[in-house]
Amino acid sequence: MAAGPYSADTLWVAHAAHLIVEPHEDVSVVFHKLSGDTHILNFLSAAIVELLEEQPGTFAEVTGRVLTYLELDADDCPPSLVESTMLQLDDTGLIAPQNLAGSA
Amino acid sequence: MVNFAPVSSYSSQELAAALKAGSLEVALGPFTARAKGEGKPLRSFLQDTYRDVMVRLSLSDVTDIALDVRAPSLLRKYIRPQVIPDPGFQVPAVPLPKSMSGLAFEMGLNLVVALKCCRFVTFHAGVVANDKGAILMSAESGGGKSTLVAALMEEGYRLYSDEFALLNMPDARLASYPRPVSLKNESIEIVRDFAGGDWVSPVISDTPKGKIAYRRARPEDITEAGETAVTKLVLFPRFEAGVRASARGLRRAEAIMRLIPSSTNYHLLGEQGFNALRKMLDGAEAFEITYGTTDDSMKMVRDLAAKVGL
Amino acid sequence: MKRQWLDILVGTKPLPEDILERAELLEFADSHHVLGQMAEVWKDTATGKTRDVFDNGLLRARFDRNMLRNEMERVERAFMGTGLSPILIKGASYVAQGLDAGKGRRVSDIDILLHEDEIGQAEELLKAAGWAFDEATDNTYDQNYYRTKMHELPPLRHKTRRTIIDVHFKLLPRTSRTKVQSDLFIDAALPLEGRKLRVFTAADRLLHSAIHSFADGSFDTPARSLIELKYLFADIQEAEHEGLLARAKTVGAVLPLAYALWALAEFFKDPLALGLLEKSGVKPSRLICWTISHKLEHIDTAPFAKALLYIRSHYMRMSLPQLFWHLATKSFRRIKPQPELPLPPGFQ
Repeated sequence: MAAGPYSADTLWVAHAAHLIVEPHEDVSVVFHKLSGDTHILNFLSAAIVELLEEQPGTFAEVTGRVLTYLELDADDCPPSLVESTMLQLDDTGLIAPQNLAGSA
Repeated sequence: MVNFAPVSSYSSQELAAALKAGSLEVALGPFTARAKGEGKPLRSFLQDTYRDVMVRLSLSDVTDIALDVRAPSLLRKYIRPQVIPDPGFQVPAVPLPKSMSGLAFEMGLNLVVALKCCRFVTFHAGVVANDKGAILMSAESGGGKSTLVAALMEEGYRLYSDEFALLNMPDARLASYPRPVSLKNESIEIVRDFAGGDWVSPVISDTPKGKIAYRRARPEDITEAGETAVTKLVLFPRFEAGVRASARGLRRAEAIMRLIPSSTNYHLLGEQGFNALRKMLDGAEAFEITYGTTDDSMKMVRDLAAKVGL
Repeated sequence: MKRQWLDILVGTKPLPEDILERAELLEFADSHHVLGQMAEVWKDTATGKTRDVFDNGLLRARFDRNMLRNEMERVERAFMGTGLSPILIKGASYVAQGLDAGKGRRVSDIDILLHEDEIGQAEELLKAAGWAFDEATDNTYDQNYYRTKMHELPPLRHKTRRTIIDVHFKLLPRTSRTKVQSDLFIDAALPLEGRKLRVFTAADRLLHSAIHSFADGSFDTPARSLIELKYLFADIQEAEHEGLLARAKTVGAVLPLAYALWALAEFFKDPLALGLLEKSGVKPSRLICWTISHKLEHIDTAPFAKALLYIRSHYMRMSLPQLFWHLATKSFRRIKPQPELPLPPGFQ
């Protein structure tokens, strides 16, 4: 489930200023300042957040960048997995569409 | 301003009058409580279980906690009298027979600290400390936390708390909050054996949780109140009958994610709470310990304490 | 409560020197959810234990403020790209705008207002984003009752965050005898700076607060409501007072405003409110004024005044047959165990 309307063209972002990230070997502990929630992210979710902090991207763009960044091929990490992970991150507020007011 | 003095320094009449007027001010570590209530059961509970705790008879300042142990209805004031703890907000308290007023008092205090006192990150945990640092034991009820706390009190540790670890946010140190250690069923005999009968209260039978007795805080625990300690060891004790003792080191992320759900107000305190929790764990090692007997658990705790320099 | 406590709650009279009275006042403020607001006006001068107690209020209010900010962002996310721009009302809007009425204020639910013809779409969007009706109201009777008789949807709770949003399409129940032109409030709403939500103008904010206190509910939180009215009235410049009266006439809130002005004159000795009340030419009913005073002074124990206001407020909301039918249906349906209050860890 997503936190609101989106499309394949939606540009997603993550705001470093909203997060306190503590990286560990295989997971990251992430405190989200807006919601006050503490999350444990696996390496895929953590990589998506990190990449979206650097540069906004669509589902397709993020999928490409994640594969390069984590040195995976598309069989290990299909686009549908990246997309569903991004929607879960949208649900927690860790990432959001770029032009959402108030989240800058 | 009136000074605090131990409960034992006042007469029954003085205490009863202050309780009736709701002016009995009880010092409990960083908190003070205004206690109100009528009848012998509450008064004698305080005289026994809170014997060395510091109080004053007339209110000399406002308090963190206001607790009224009162009848749930006019009827239950007179016919088969009952009491409930009334901390000034609605609590899900089951009425208890008036003879168990002490239990109602303890439940009420726990609820207020858990839900209303926001100046500390509050974890449901037992804490003991010596001059080098503190051991924090996080456990569900029935994990043997209270027995461990009582046993460690016999080994040179001061009682910080049996129920709540109070994490001071600015410096991430634990605050001492020495209230009586609550013992249930079999643990009562075990603790009476090593602490001595004089240090354990009479048993309250047939409570909703079975038999309950309290291991009193000692004068040295209480005069140390107001002290703080750095956390050296975080334990998640798990009692399982007949199991062979074992300890498993926990990674930091796992310790964080296990401590958060044991807190009553972590979410409320937001970023400040998260940072204090991280800072506390910076100087600490965390273990899950599984054991079948108190002796086993004590052996393990001794070893782990030595390992972290306690 | 003691009348003179109101002035202490807003910081215009000093804290009681008598310790017992001070303790009782702080306990009162806590149990009536105004400790945070009181703490905001006293935080720089209070010391020792008094300051410790205020810290509890300030920390809770900080949590509420953060929670609200997040919920606002989540609502904006849910409505993104649809053109809908909900209006934030009540406590949430005071806190979001940083008004005096919002400083230290507790916010448990978020209230939004939309045009009636936008409600269906808003409901779908919120449901798609994870909000849902509670089990207790997710049935044909309650759903129908709220939509045809009330001024809001049944409360929507977010499935994971557990926060509640009240979606209003009117300011008063449809069945209310006081007829307020809700659409005029909606049309006059202004954008909230830096966000996609909107808020009322200062005059409409005060009028809505007056309506909420004196034409809607049973004046259930007298201390909080009076403090709110005081701050909201102070936000309106004296030069705007005539405009306020005119606006009240236009939207149909003359009577609620008159009671608000009367209360400000009565409990805070506000000469401007008194002057404006006289200018309005409305003579508040002495019975209702007595009921309001009685309700405030016997805030926890005013059965008579409570009964009076209850009948009055239901009378204003519904016709007698409607009321009877509602109560009868309710009493048949509500015989089920109340869900237990959540307990903190370790108390199960």
